[in-house]
Amino acid sequence: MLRIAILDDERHALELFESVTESFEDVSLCGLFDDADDLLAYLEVNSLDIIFLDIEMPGKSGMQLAEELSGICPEISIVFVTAYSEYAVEAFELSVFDYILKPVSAERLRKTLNRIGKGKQTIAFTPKRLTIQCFQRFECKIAEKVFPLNHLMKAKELLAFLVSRKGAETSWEQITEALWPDMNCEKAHNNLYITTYRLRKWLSENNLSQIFESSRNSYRIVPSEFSCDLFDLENAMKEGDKRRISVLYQGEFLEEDGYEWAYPIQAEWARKLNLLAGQE
Amino acid sequence: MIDTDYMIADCDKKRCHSLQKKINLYRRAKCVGSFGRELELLEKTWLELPEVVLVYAGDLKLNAYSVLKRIKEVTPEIKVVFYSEQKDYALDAYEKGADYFLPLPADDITIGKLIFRYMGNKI
Repeated sequence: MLRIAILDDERHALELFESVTESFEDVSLCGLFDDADDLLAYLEVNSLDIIFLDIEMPGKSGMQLAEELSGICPEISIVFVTAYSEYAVEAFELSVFDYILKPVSAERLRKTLNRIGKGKQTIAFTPKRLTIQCFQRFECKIAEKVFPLNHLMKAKELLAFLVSRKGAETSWEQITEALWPDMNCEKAHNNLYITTYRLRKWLSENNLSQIFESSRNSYRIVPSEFSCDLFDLENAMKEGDKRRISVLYQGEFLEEDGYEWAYPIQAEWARKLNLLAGQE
Repeated sequence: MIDTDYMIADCDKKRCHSLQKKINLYRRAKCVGSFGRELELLEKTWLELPEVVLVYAGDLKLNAYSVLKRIKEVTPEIKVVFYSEQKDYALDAYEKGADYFLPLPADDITIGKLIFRYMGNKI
């Protein structure tokens, strides 16, 4: 719930704002102020997430107040609500979060609240638990629901390849050589760009952006951000937990996906499991 | 000291170089590309992942709103700054969700404010 308040010297502007916010279930309208001193007194004992300020008011202007508030309550997002467009440049300089032209519409206010909500979410956001399966076939499950990614074939393969690297930095060259081995460098890089775009978009749409990291000329996935049978199986191998190995090993590594780069990994797993079986 | 990487999206090479020259006076800012075509810019943006992309607003050849939308939908962490001689774009920057607006002509003070905000606190 976002705690908000508005300061405006015009009574009807306050009334309109109140009626617009009534339909929003995720906000709590904590105050309608027509005097800056009353707002400042309120803030001495109460906290707010957002303050909506008119700019042209008798006495202290919205600009002056925004400057003052950014010093005393830097955590509060300030939004200007005004009939004038010419203060927008100064508003940016004052780090004002948003600038809404009067009359305030529910649609425009929603946009502001969503932007602020997103910003706050990134701090307290708990990622959805993603589970990736690599043995038998590559599969992504979000909250137990399978996302086949069949419409994103290469993005799926890129994700699988990065998972197989187990969090290691992987250069563009390593990726293009694996995913487009017969393609010339320029075309392969172009494909990598499109594929990365699609993968990042899919991750972003599913609030999973945190599993993918990029730095200059390389990408990696972040193993701590998701569960994966590949990592579980490796742990089970280290611990010699044969029961768990038999549960996790449901088929060969990416068996049904037919990725050429995966064949050596399949062979390596087959060798390890044969060795383990031979020890029995 | 770590550099802050930035890119510029502007079809006018002269204006682009002039801005780049002013920003590069600050040691912490490093231009990693300037582009006049949207696709080229986006391609490089997603690969290089600069901290800031400066987009000229007011040229039909390069739609600033489209660039902003496409950068933000995939890489919301990248700060997008509109710059223009036309101050009306400052309001549009707010409407569309840009992170900052730099009015042109940019003097030392306005550039300094931009640097301080997005490029000055990386040590």
